[in-house]
This record gives sequence, C-alpha cells and structure tokens, in this order.
Amino acid sequence: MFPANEALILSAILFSLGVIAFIVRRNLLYTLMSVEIMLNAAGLAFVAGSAIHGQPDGQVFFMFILPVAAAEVAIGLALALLIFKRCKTLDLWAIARIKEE
Amino acid sequence: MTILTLLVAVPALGALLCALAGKTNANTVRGVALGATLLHVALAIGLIGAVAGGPLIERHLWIPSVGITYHLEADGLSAILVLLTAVIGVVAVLISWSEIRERVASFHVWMLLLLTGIVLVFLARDIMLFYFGWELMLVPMFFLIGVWGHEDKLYSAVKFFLFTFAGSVFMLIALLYVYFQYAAQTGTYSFALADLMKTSLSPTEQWWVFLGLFVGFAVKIPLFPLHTWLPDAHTQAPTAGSLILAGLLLKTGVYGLMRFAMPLTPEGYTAFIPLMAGLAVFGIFYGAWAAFAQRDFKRLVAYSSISHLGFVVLGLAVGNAAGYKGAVLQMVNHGLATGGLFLIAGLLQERTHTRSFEMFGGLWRQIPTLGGFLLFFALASLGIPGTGNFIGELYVIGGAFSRAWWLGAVTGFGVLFAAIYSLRVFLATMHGPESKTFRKLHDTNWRENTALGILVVLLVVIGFYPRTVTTPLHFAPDQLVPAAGRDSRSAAAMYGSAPKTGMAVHTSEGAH
Amino acid sequence: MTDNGVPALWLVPALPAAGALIIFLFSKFWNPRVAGRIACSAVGLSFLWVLVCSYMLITWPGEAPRFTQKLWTWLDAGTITADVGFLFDQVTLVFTLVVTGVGFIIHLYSVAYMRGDDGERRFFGYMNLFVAAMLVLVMADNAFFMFLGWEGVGCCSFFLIGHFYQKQENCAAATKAFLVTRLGDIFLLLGVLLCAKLAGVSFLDLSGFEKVAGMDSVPQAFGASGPLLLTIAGLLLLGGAMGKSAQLPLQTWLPDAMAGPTPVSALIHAATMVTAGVYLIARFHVLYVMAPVALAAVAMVGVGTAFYAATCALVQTDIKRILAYSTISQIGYMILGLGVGAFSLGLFHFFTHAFYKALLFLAAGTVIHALHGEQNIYKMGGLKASLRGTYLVFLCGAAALAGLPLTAGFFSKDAILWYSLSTKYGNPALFALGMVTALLTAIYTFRLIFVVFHGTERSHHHVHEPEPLLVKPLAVLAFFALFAGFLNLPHFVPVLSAKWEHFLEPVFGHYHAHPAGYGGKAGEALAALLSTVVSLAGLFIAWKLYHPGAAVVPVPAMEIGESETSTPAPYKASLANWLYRGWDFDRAYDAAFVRPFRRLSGMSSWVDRVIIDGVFELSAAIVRGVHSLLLAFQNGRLSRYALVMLFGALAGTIILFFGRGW
Repeated sequence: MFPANEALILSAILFSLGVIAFIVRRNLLYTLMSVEIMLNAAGLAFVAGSAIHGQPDGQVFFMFILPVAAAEVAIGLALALLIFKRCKTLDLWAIARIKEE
Repeated sequence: MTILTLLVAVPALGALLCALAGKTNANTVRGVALGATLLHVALAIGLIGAVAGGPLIERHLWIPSVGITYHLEADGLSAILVLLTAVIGVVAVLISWSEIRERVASFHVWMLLLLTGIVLVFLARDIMLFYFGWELMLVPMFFLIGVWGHEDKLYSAVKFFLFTFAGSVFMLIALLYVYFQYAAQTGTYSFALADLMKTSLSPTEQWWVFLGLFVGFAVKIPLFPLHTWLPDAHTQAPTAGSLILAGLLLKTGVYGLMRFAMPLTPEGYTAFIPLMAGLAVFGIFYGAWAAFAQRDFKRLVAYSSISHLGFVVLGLAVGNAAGYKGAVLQMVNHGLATGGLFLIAGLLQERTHTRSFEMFGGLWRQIPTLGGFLLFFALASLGIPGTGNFIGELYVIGGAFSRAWWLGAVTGFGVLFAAIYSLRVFLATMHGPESKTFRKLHDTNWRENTALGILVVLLVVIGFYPRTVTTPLHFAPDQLVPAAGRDSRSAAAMYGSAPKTGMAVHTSEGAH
Repeated sequence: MTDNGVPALWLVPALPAAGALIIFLFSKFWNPRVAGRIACSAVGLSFLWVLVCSYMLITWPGEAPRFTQKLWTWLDAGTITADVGFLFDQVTLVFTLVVTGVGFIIHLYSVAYMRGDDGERRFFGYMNLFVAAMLVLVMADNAFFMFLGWEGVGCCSFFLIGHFYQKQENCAAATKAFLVTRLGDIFLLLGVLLCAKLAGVSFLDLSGFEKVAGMDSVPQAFGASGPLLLTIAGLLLLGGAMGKSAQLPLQTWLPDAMAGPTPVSALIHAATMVTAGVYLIARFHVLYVMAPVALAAVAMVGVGTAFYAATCALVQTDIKRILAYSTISQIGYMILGLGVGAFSLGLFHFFTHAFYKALLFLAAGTVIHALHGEQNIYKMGGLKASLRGTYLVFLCGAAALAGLPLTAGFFSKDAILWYSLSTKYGNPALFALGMVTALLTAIYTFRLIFVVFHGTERSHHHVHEPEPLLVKPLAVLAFFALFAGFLNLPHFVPVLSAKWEHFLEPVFGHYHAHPAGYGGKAGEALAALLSTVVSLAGLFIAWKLYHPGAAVVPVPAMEIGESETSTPAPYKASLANWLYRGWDFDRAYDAAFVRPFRRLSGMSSWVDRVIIDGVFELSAAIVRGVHSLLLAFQNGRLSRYALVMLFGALAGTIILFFGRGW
C-alpha cells in the first residue's frame, strides 16, 4: 500500500523548504533549485492524490510537470549563465540594483 | 462581396501595399496611398448612386454563438459621410506629400488604417462591428499624433487616447446592457442594430442607456465640458491628422448619436433634448469666445470646431427636418472648411515653423494664393452665403427658430462671434505691417492648390446646391429626415428597423 | 433669351461674376492692366444686358409685366424654402441700372486711379465680385437668395476697405464695417425667418402679410397676435437695413470705411451697397404698411440719422469723411421717404443720390490723387485754378447735394420733405427736422467747396493735372446730377409731373401713400419754395463763415496727424469736438461691447485652460500619485514578491478553511 498520507506530509515539508529557500537565498542558482524543489513537491502531492482517489489523473499531471520543470531548468540555467557573463555575479539583489542603475 | 466590403477593404489593402512599398522610395508609397484614396472616392461616388434606389446591405455570420454578424449597410446618410471620408482621404494624402518626410510608409499605413476604421464606423450596422471600427480609429490616430506631431505630441496623443477610450467604455457598457436585455427578452443573442431596436426598455432604462451612449459620443463630438482633449490634439497633430480629426473623427460622434443613440432609446433622447440643446448653444458661444483669445493658429481653429459642432448637435436636438438637414450639412461643411483652415495652418507652419499669430502679419504680399485660400476658408467658417456653411447654419437656426423662437434668436448671435474669430485668423496672418521675420516665403504649389481647391469647390457647390447633400437623406426608406411640420417627433424615432422589400438588397447569409 | 420671351436675367449678375472668376484665376499670368479691362468689359456688358431687359420690360405688351426666372431649387427644409431665382420689375430695373451704369463709370475711373497699385488685380476682382453680389441682392426673387447678395456685398466691402492692408487702421476699419453690418444682418436673417414662417418670403407673394395682419393669434410656437408679429418682423428687417445702410445706431462703421480706395467709397459706400437697406424696406413695403408702428420707426430712424450725420459733417476735416457723413445723412432722407409711405420717392432719392454722390467721391478722389494722397481739406485750398475740370464737376455734385433749385437733389429731397409732412404717416416734426437738416447740408457742402477750391493754396505738393480718365467719366455723372430730377417733377408743375411715381406704380400700387391736406398743390409749391430758400440760406451762411477772407472761420486749432487717437479733439470748442467724434458713439460702443467682449473672451480661454482642463488634469494627477505609491512595491526583488505571495496564500487558505463560519 502506498503511504499516501506520509507522502502528502513529505510533499508539504519539501514545498515549505523550497519556499523558505526561495525567500532567503539570494543566489540565482539556489533560487532555481528551490523552484525545482517546489515543483517536485507539487508533483509528489499529485501522485499521492492519485493514489488516494485511485485514479490516474494525478500521475498524468505529473507527466506534464516533468517536462515543464526540465524546460524551466534548461532555460533558467542558460539565463543564469548569460547573467553571470554580463554582471559577474549571481546575487539577485545586486542584479536588481544594476538594472535600476 | 459588394461595394460595401470594397469600401472598407480598399483603404485597408492600400495600407498593406504601403507597408510593402515601404522598402522602396517615399514617392512610391505616396503614390500608392493616393491611388488607394482616389479609388476610394470613385467607389464612394458609386455608392451614392447605388443607394438612390434603397439601402445596400451585406450580411455574413461572423461569430454566431454570441450573435455577432458582419453586417454592413449604407443609406443616404452613410453614403454621404463615406464620400466625405474618401475626399478628405485624398486631400490628406496630397497635403502630407511634402510635410511628412520621415517614416513615410508607416505614416500612410496608419492613415489608411484610420480611414478604414472610419468607413467601418459609417457602414457597420452590427454593434460589435461598429465598436471594432470605433476602436480601430483610435490607435492609428494615436500614432499619427504621437509620432508625427509637433512639440508636445506625446502629451496630446495620450490625452486624446484616454479621453476617447474612457468615453467608449461608457458607450460599450450601454450597448452591452441593451444587448443583454434583448437576449433576456427574446432568448436569442444578437448584436444587430435592427434587432436591438426592438428591445423594449423602460423610460428609466432608456435614460441611463442614452446617458452612456451620449457620454461616449459627446467626447468624440466634442461637447462642452468633455472637449479639452481637442485643442491639444488638433494643435499637435500633423496637418493630415488635424484634417482627419476635424473632418471625420468628430463626425463619427455625431453619427453615433444619429445612428445608434437616438434610434435605440428614443425616449432617452427626448429626455436629453434640453441638455443637448443647452450644451450645444453654450458650446457655440463658449467655443467662439475662447477661440478669439488664442494665440496659436491651430488652437484657435480647434476652439472654433467646438463652436461649429455646437450647431450640429443643436440641429439634432431640435428634431425637425430643417435642424436635421442643417446638422448633416454642417457636419460636411465643417469638415471641409475647418479642414481647409487646418491645411493652411499646416502649410504656414511648413514655411515659417511657427503657428503663433504674433509671428505672422502682412504675409499676403509674399503668399497671395495661400492668403486667398485662407480668406475663403475664414469666410466659409463664419458662414458666408455661397458656401455650404451658411446653409447649414441657416437650417439649424431656422430649425431652432421653429422649435422655440428664442432659441433661434440666441443661436443667431453665435454667428456674430464666429465672424469675430474668423476675421482674426485672416487679419492676424495676412494683414497688418509685414512681418520682418519671414522673407521670400514660397507660395502654394500645384499639389497644395489641388488639395485646397477640392475643398473650395465642394464648399461652393454645396453653398449653391445644398441638395447634393440633403437629397440623399431622402433616399428611401426616408426614415431619417422628419417631415416638415412633424416637429415634435424625433428624427431618431423614425429610423425603421428593416428595409422595405423590393430594394437593392444584397443579403448573403454565410453558412456555418 | 428663354422660351417665353423673357430675357435671361441670370446673365446680369453672371457676367461680372465671371469677370471676377477670370481675374482671380488667371490674371496673375497677365499684365495687371488686363484685369482692369476685363472688369470694365464685364460690368459694361452687364449694363448693356440690363438695358435690353429694361427695354423689354417697358415695352412688354399686356398688363403689369414682371419678369421672373427660376434656375433651381436652392433651399428646402420646412419653412425655409428658396430658389435660385431672379425677379425683374420696375424697382429692380432702377437698382440694376444704377448698379451697372454707375458701376461701369466707376470701373472706368478706377482703371486710371488704381494704375500702378500693388493690388490692382485683386482690386478689380473684388469690384467685379461686388457688382455681381449687388446684382444678386437686387434681382433675387426671394429674401433668402437676396441675403446671399446682401452678405456678399458686405464681404466685398470688407475686402476693399482693407485694400491697403499693411496699415493696421485700415484693417480695423474693415473689421469694424464687417462686424457692425453683420450684427444688422443677424437681425435681418431673424426677420426673414420670421417672415418665412408667417408668409413665405418670395417677393412674389408678399401679400401673405395681409392675411397675417388680420389674425388674432398666429399659430406655431409664437403665441403673439398677427399685427404684433408683423411689427416685430418689420423692426428686425429695419435692424438689417440699419446695419447695411449705416443708420442710427449702427452708423459708426461708414466714416471709418473711407480707408478704402476712393472708387470703392464711391461705388460701395455711396452709390450702391449702403442703399441696400432702402431696397430692403421698399421690397417689404407690404409688411410695413401692415405694421404702422414699424413704419413710424423707419421714419424716425431716417430723419434722426439725416440730422445726426449732417451735424457731424459740419466739422469734419477729412474730405472723404465729410462725404461719408453726407452719405449717411442722405440715406437718412431715403429712409425717411420710405417711412412716410412714399416708397417711390425714397427710391427716387436713391437714384439721384447715386449719381451726385458717386460724382462727389470720384471728384474728391481726383483731388486726392492730384495732391498725392492728401485728404485734409485744410491742407488743400485754392484748387479752383489748378483743377478746373474737377472743380466744375464737383460744383455740379455739390449743388445737387445741397439741394440748390432745379438740380436732381433738389427735386428728390423736396418731394420727400413734402410727403413727410403731408401723407397720413407724416407729421410736422419730421418735416421740420428734415428742413433743418437740409440747411445743415447746404452749409457743410459749401464749406467743403470754399475750403478746398477757393482761397489760397495751402498744399505743399505740386498739383499735377489729372489724366483725362479721372475727369471725363465724371461729366456723365455731372449731367445726371443736374438733370435727373426732371424725371419726377412736383405735382404742381403741369408737365412731366410725378412721372417716376407712375412708373413705379405697378410695384407699390395702393400701398403707396399720397399727400392729403396742407393745401394740396399750393402747399407743395410752398414747400418747394421753402426748400429753395433754405438751400440758398445755407449757401449764404457757408460763404459768410468760410469765404477766403472770413474772420470767424472755425478752423481746427491743432494739427490732426495721420494716426488719430481714439478721442481726437482738434477744435477749441468741446461741442465741435463731440460732433467731430460722431457724438462719441465709438467711445460708448468700445466701452459697452468691445472691451467687455475682449474680457469675456480672455476669461473663457482661461476658464477652459485652468478650470475645465484642470479638473481632468487633477484626475490624471491623482492617478499618477496612486501609481507612484504602488511603485514602491515593485522593487525587483524576487524573494520579496515570493514572501508577499506566501502570506497572501496563507491568508487565502485561512479564510477558505476557517472563514466559513463568519
């Protein structure tokens, strides 16, 4: 039996960790990673829901989330690379300041 | 596809061709635009002939699920205004020939798109299609002012956009209310004007709906106190922009009142007559007074537009045959005469790089032909007999006189103030000691003479044979012009819903 | 010629109109002299065609001929219906003959007068246009079409007064003329609209007024009785006539209008346009007979203006202003004639006046031309010898103006004065004031003669002999100024008496008033004798005051420069100065209308810019303020956004789960 409740709790913890990381970290790479964690937490919640209801919808959704996450990482990393080239830093606040100036 | 679709399509295709020709030299673009507008004039003349036998209709389903149709229709009123649009289009292209030197292609693209929108407004009988055309006018005008305008162009462009857009929101809400009421009453969704006129609305509802429409259209006309965008927009717009603004855009507001607001809510219209007449008469005087105090040529003419459009609205408010015909005549004449004044302002600015009366004076010796044209348009603007403006004003004053003698008498004195500011335009530029600043200004060339000459000839033709404009209003079914003696009945209430049988009706229901 | 044998009337105005069009369109490719030739031939041809029409009208077989011709329907909107149509009856005949005949002579004169002027082509274009408009005015078969000509002549007057446009005063004079007459025109238009509503305004069915006069209440929105409405209509039309014919209180524009070239003053501001008011009232005579109050107002305005202008003319120093005031005064006589029901005599005075006043103006122009533009009579003097021919024709004109016996002016003025006493609309007061005015007229006329032509030469310029074209045409006018009076000898003369009145009878018919009482023919002879005495007395007084050696000459104490102030005061006596300024009408109007209008205009502009636009600008400013407030949240820091989102999501969740019970 798939431990659905535990999986949901795990998903909540993962999501919270992702959010906290997103808020506190200023480095672009960490920010991207935290977004990735949040996405996967949501995916886990979908799978768990699917198990609870005994229907495949949730797993299908996760199949959609996977490529979206992959695409996001690909584009995000490419952007991060470009930004680093131009700004010599990945500190988001510093980048925001540069933009303002 | 009938002549109606062609009338909409020709300027649009012209715009496309201009865009394509943009890579080649500027004169090709201008030539293409001129060709398109000339073809447009030919079609519009054909339209006048065609509607003599009855209205032309073209209807296709467009978005049937919500009841939107592609419904074009032309009766005498539409045909006249479409012809005016086409003629003004030609003049606008001619006058921009030497004025516009940068981004020539995009200028003409926007201008032709603007004409497309205007023609669509004049021909659409489906409210969504009308609204589409209405908003289509907005964007090109915004760019014409904002890109090719003068010193304060962005402010004016944004002001123009915000005013008219805000107004059109009120209009849309009112129209949608009628739409949903119709749906609730009949169970079918339709945006067709003819259908919506069958909606039964209580007097209170009519009052509110008319208010919404009135606000939307009054901004465009513009009526006091919603007029303040006009002086700025006119002053800053390039010459062709001012011409189209004065000649056509303001007319769409009046046309909207005549075609949509008054027929949809006849009782609302009746309730609003005192307000309309009051604002109109006040506008006649206020515009004239304010015009006299201006130091900027184009600003003065802009204020005079407020005064002139006061006559138009008054003509609608008095609701009898004379007033109605006067309103239509005055729409056309104002477009031609005030358009002419804007052309001259543009030509003067092209030569002297200023619009300020303080810089002008005594220019007649250097530019006699231009001065002669200015004299003519100034006189036309003050309503000298022999020009169309006189007939328009006479009809409106006469209509007001029939309705209430004091209204006619008060309005009559508005003509005096028109004389004061019109003479000022002429005297301050051409008369007086010769300005030391300008030496050897060159007089008009043949292209400018043609552009101005077209307007002069039309004004004189209307002045001596006003029935060129008023006869089409009687084309069957004659429901627009109130018959003589039926003063109390509103012009609007007579607009019938469906054309009678046996007329040149081109209906083609598109299969879904 | 049209199919029913009526000559093509439209040709009469069309010829000068075509002349104007040709001059405007093409003359810039030609020598400026060509414009003058085109203009002269256009008016000349028009005159010949008028002669043809007149001959046909007079010799028309059958009863009461009246030519009409409709070209096309012009206006059709409710009660406003009008054709582009022409009417040719005896009244039109008189006016068209004068307009084209005198017009032709003045055109000839102008060819010489305007030679070498910068705006020669423009001048002739406008002159032709003016003649065309004036012909439309007098030939239109309905009041709306007449109004076209009415405004057209006003326009041309505006153009031509401002002919020397580089001087600011001339432009001001042109504007003043246009605006003051336009004020009158508005009254006229309202009057015409009222008449259209009451009875239709085609001149062919003016008898509709008879029906209205009998009505107790006229339907449709007016709520007044028929006679009252007729009176109002008559007064409104009189307002129009006041404007165009420079009658009190709208007379102020005419003296200033002398800024135009002298031929313009002769044609427009003496012979033709300013008499449009006379034509108007004569045309609407039916209405005025129906509304006696309006008719009395006409008479009072006429005699009042005649007196007013004569007093002003006494003290003017500018030769053209003297003539301008005399024009106002003489038109006052015409209006007086109309106002006592003597319609044909008003027209007769118009007829004679057109000749002698055009003559005086043209001769004055020749004098001015010879003195290189000098217009101040106190700088002329002694020109009798150097300008012999001019002096002689001027003398003929002056004799007619002063009403010396047997001249044209004598017969026409005397007839009006007699009728102003003896018809049922007349009274002794009108007659007395008219006689006093006649005395003043003789005084100022001969003052002009004595100061300008007699005495010593005060001019510093070399007087050069004018070219023949500036004198010869005047001889024709001089002939008519002396002998035109014989067309209408008084009733007491056994031959040729009242010919003119009989000629116009088909038009005025029984509406024309006739003398009654006051001794009939004997009284008339007595009145004529009185006129004779009065004019000779005027001549005598003028000689006493202004002959070369006179000691009591009221000469201006100070020099009057080119640029006059708004309150010039050249004389020692304040009464003279007051008269010189035209009873200070200008000053009063300036204070009552001009300055308040400027203030009103400035205020409107200010209100528009500051208050009305200010409201919209304020709303824009509010939006901008809110915008900058919200902008503080947009700091570009992603983690802050996330934090805000988190709390938002939390709050949403809490509300969703726990808010149900609220």
